[in-house]
Amino acid sequence: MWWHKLNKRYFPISFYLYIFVLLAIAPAGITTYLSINNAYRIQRQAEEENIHRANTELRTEVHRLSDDLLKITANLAGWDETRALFVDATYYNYWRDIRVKDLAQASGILDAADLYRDNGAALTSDYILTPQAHPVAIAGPAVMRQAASYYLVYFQPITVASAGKNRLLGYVGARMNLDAVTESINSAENSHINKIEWMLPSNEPVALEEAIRTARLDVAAIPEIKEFSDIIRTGFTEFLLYTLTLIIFWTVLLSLSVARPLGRLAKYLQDVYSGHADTIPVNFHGVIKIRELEDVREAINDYKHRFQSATKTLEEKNKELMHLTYHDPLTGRYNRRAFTARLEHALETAVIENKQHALCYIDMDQFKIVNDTCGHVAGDELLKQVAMLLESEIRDSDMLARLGGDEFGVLLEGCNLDKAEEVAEAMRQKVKTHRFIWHDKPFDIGISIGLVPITADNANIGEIWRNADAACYVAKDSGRNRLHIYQEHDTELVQRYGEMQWVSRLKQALDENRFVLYAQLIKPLHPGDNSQHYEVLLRLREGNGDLILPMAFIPAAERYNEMPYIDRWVIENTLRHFHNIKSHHGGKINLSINLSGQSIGNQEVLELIKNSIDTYNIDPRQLCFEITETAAMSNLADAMHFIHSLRSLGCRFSLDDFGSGLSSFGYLSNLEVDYIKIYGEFIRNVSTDALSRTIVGAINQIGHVMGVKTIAEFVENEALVKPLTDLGIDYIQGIAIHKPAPLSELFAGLSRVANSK
Amino acid sequence: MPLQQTANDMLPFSRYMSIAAVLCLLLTYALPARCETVTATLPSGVAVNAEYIVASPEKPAIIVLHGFLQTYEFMSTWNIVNGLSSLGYAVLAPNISLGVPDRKQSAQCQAAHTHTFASDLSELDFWADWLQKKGYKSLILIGHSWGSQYLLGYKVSRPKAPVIGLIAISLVRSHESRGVRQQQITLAKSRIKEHASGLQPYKLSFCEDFMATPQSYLSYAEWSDQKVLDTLAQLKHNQTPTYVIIGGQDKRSDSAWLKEVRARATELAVIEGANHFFSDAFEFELNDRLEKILHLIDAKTQ
Repeated sequence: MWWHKLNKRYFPISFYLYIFVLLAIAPAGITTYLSINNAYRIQRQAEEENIHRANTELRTEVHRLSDDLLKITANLAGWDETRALFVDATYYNYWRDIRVKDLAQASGILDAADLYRDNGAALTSDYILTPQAHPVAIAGPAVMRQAASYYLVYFQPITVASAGKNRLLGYVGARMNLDAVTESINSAENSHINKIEWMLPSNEPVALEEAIRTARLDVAAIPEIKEFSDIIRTGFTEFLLYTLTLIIFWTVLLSLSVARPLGRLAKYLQDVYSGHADTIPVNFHGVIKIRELEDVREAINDYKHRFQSATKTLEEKNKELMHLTYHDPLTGRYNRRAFTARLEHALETAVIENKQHALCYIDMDQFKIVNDTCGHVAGDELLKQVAMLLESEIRDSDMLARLGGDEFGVLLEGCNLDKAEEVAEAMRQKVKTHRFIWHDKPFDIGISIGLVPITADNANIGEIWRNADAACYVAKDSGRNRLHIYQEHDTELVQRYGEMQWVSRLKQALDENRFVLYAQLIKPLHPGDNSQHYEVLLRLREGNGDLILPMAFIPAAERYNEMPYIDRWVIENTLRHFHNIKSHHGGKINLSINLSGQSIGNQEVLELIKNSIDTYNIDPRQLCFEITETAAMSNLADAMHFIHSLRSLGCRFSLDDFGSGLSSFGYLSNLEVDYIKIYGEFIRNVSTDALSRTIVGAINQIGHVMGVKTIAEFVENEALVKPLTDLGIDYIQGIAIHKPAPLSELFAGLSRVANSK
Repeated sequence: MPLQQTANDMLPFSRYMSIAAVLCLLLTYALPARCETVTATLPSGVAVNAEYIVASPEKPAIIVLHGFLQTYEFMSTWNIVNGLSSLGYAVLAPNISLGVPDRKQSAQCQAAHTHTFASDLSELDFWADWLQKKGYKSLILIGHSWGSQYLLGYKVSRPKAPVIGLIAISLVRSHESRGVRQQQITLAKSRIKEHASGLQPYKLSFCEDFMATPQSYLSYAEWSDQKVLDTLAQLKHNQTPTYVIIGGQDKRSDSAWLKEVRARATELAVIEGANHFFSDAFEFELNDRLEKILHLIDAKTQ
């Protein structure tokens, strides 16, 4: 239907206002029109009725007179003396002036009479009415104007019987002044006629009905009807005018106060949408103030402010986001994404335009120490300063980016390798000579730089990244604070690539569960200590059945963050086996499990340990976790938290390779460890080298003073046992004491021993 | 007086006759057989009419003459006609035209009167001839009031007319006084002399203002009381049976007049109690008298 189409359209409020006006005016107009029309109709009917009554009154009155006239003329015609005049008209005047006048006086209405012969001619020449009667044309009464008067005339036939038949003798014509009618009408109280105007020719009788029909009547109005009609017309006209005024007033008011403000609001909203809107002024409203519109205005203004604020914030955030997308928030320099994009562009120019560029992959040395010992704030500050240092050595056209952590990248566009080497070296020197001081504590910092040329020979970005990373690794691995320039067939890089290949092999080994747990006894030296303590060791079984020692894959695993996965595997499998051996062995053995530095700060590993202890119902006191001194120092805060959490359960900790790195006894005091496993290089020479023996003795003494028991590892021959015993070492471990064996076999043996007992 | 005596002697019989007359009258009214209105035209061209009751020509026809300005339909005249209709006489009651064609109405005093007594008698001539042409050989004239003057004048002026008897009913004195009459006659005559023939009002009979020409007035005015008595005497002398009937209560009559009349008429019948018009029940008694008189006339003529 048509109104469905209508429903789909939207019209302005003014349209509905117009519709409202029409709908409001229409009934009022129709009602007024009908009422006034009815009033007119009633008045018209009344007037018509009045006219009809007037006509009837006139007709009645005239007919009454006419009847009288007819009677009189009939009387006259019947008079013998009248008929006698047709025989002898000598005394016609006597008849007319005396006899008829007597009759006229008697009747009071007759004005004059004349006699006419049967041919219509006046009986005498002394006529008053008309020389010629009109009996043929006018059979009945007629009205005739003579001079200024109107008369009702009638020519009454006069017949005589003759030979048994009536014979027309003549006519008696009589007239009656119609003023009598007017007087009669005027004298009537309820007459409907004010005035009668006969429309007649002079001296020519007109048939009575025709004369009445053509008479113009000034009809007396009926005051009550006219007053009623006037009241209705005036009332409804005023009603309509009032209604129209009210409607127009309200329409204008609504238009000015609602429609127009709404239009303004709509325009403001469009302006808001287009971003050109100003605040809607308080005087936006129309003639009257409408609370809802004011609420809308305030809401829109508020919305606009919020919108502007949000837009501004969003723009700022967007800019910030855009900045963050391509910049490092800490240093303000480009990030890896921007750097990669620039690098891709550089590669394109190298390939297409045969340009030469260079990439410096920079890794900060000692950053973790600063960060861990002085906090992140210090680390962040160091990064900023290093960025500034690096930036000071490059051109504006070059690009410096923080690639992540303590790694920076510098893209030297349009720069050959020699020049790039100069710039890289300058950067290294710049950083090296810079002393970072944090809370009066100076730090020597350095950077390891891997320099890679970017030429048309480069296959892709990935290759450039790998080469740069590998070169940087080589530089770092070569002793840090070095520059290593990538060269094809670089042996160091080959090793680096070998480590990279380990990542996939380790992942595959984990998936295929090809790791094997071994264990080695940690033997107590003090008499009476019957505890059995084993260190859990890890081997990787290759596809051909060969076992690979951990030093072959652990570095790669640590470098590529695979250690947490390996540690998880070790923890789960060790505790599961331990659970099994406990149920069979029933004895008390302790197991030491190595944890990498990456796992120490890993909350998931911590949770795994806790859950596994609960799952396998392991006495935490039977578990000891070994962490390297370097790992602990690199993540000292995390390590302290980690150690504290597990020690609170009863677990113990052993600090592995103590003395191999930057360890100090200061650090040791911060770490809640139960054992110190003295670095093997000292143990290996303890029998031959006095310094080693002194160091081991000192460590042992300090350990004991701190309540920490000492373990000497790498006891590779029996000769070492005596000096270690003499030094007071608590435990010894090495192939001279116990050759590592598969954990399953060890547990099986222990089960057999237990069962044999 | 013998007639009066006879009438008194026959009183019981007259009662029976009255009853019979009433019955006859009723029959007459009910069945007006052979009663018709006839019209005719005078030689002057004026149409005249009369009520005519046909009867055998063996008997004399009776002409009943109405009073002054009246018609035969006037009550008294009409009663007479009705009374006669049952007696086997042909009766003709003409309306004297008075100059009015086919007059059927009583003429008004104020109407223009140009007719004269002579012209009225001429019409009587006409009807007499008309009856004779119908085969009636003799006529009896009955007149009421002024009709009596007509029959007196007619018989005197037409002595050869086949009139065998006259019955004058309510033949009374003139209305106007002698002085007035004489004065009017003088005036009228002077007008005639002056050729002033216009209408003037005269006191004549019951008319206070009889609008007439001098000639008209004089023609009627000459019929003074004395002329009536003289005419009666003349007719008596000529042996014309002239009977007079007067109501005893007729105000225009008195004993002197009755005496004068009785002295000159063949017979005078006075019906006691009756007025000029013999209204009420006196019409029957009048008819009885008329019947007796008619028998007397018949008897005399045979």
